[in-house]
Amino acid sequence: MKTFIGTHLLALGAVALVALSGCSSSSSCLESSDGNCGGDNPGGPGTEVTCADGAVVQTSDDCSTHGGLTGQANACAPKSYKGFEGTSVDVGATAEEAGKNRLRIKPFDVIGSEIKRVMNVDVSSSLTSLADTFGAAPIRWYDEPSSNAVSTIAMYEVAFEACLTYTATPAEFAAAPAQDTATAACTAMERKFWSRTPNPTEISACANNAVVNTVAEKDARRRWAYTCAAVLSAAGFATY
Amino acid sequence: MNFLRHSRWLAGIVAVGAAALALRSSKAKAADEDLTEVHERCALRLSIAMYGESPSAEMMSGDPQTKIDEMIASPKFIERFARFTNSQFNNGPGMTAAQDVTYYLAKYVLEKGEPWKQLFVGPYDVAVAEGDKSGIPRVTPKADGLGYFRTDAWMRRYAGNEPAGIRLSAAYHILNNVTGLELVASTNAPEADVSATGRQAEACRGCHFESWYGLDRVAKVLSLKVTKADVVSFQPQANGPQPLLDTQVSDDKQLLETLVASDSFKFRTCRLAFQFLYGRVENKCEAQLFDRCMTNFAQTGAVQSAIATVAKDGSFCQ
Repeated sequence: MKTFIGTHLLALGAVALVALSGCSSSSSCLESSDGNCGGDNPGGPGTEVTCADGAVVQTSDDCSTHGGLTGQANACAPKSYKGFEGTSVDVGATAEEAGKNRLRIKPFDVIGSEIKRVMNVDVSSSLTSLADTFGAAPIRWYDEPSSNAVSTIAMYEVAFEACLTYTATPAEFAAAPAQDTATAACTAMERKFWSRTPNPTEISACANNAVVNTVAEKDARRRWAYTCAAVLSAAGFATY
Repeated sequence: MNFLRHSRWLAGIVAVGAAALALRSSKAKAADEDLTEVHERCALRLSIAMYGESPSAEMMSGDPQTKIDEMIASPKFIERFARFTNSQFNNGPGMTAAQDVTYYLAKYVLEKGEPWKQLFVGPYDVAVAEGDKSGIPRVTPKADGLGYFRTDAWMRRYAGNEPAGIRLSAAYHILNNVTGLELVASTNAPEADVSATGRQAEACRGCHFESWYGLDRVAKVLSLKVTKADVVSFQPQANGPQPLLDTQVSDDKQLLETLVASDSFKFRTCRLAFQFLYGRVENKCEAQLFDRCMTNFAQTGAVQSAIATVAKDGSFCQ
């Protein structure tokens, strides 16, 4: 009987530990940008990776600045493609690590629908006159959006209008922001608007904006709207 | 005694097991949240890049990268990529629809699932039909067509202003569109000799005569622009085969066939895929993905496969 209990408890402990290590491996996969899920560091977190140049780093991603992974083609050196008359065609690639410089400004065409998606507020009527401000591409054409002072302030104005509606009725915005309510609301808004979990610095900055920077505004809901607009017009929302 | 010692040990195991389970549970939850964020960001990137619109609720709900083939076959993607191509291959949007032959032929090639090279060498014409008041050009079969390069609208748009009618502008745009070559036009000094003789000057001859892309050399196999009483027409030149692109090239068709058979063309296409999906050219450390794009595009000849290769890679959604 004792043996039976002991065996089962041991199995439970073992299963739990296996489950734990399996989870860790999975987390490692999420963090890897090369899809080498445990292939190069099969031991999971805590197992160091040796790069092509001999450097020992924590993850395979870190090898991007060390000539790629050992035993694989150099991650930072493409095959050489020959052009005409012996010239090389592979020129012009940016000397950067993989996955850097990814954020792009959302195009004008999606600003209204994105606001609708994250806060269910329709600002389409306000946007109709702003196509030129946001550099909307003409018919049959494409422009990579870029940001400037005019479009940034326009984005804030649109965001504030949307936020006035967003904060107009919910009970949570009836009282002026306090540190705890601001922290909670900022965490929720940043996660929702930015499609990612904000870090403590970002939450703190937003909460500080709500509690300190908007204090001159007497209307509680407008204070929340200012707070909301700062989050909605930030790069977290304005880029993808 | 023995039992007691075992029980303490077993209690320790239970405690570790329970803690591990609790940790597993919280880590699993965190991992699920991470995955939700990854999918959300991925849906945003894919939907805006491929469709130019916000992601649908359906796209946000699962792994968006499983929907890439479906997206690439959709009219929304075709419209967006045709516009993107038009913007990459021309200096600005056409004044009229008829001038945007690149857009219309790119759309046609994508809709018909034709090899991407057909945009440059396919037997087509792109023109507004006689009597068609809409002003919208149509793609029609034309035995001696050469992608959009022999369309009247394109030839006029890039006829250039070389005094003898040498189509330097057309030569440059052909090389740029197919291989991605980028040259910066330099400004002439006042009273400078802009003829072929003047272009032999030290500062000019590199781009005009000496490089593989020497514009005057390439223009020798193109037709000549002829202007009479302000009416522009084009007539063939009889320069004979020219030593170009590591071979002898007689005319624009042979020029284009040589270009689309090159690695330069494949490279240009994969870089186009990166620019479309990333909004920038590839980084040096994205070389392995770029190489896969080259391999897949070489096998299929379809620009859709180049785009799918880049978009389906795990790194796109990181």
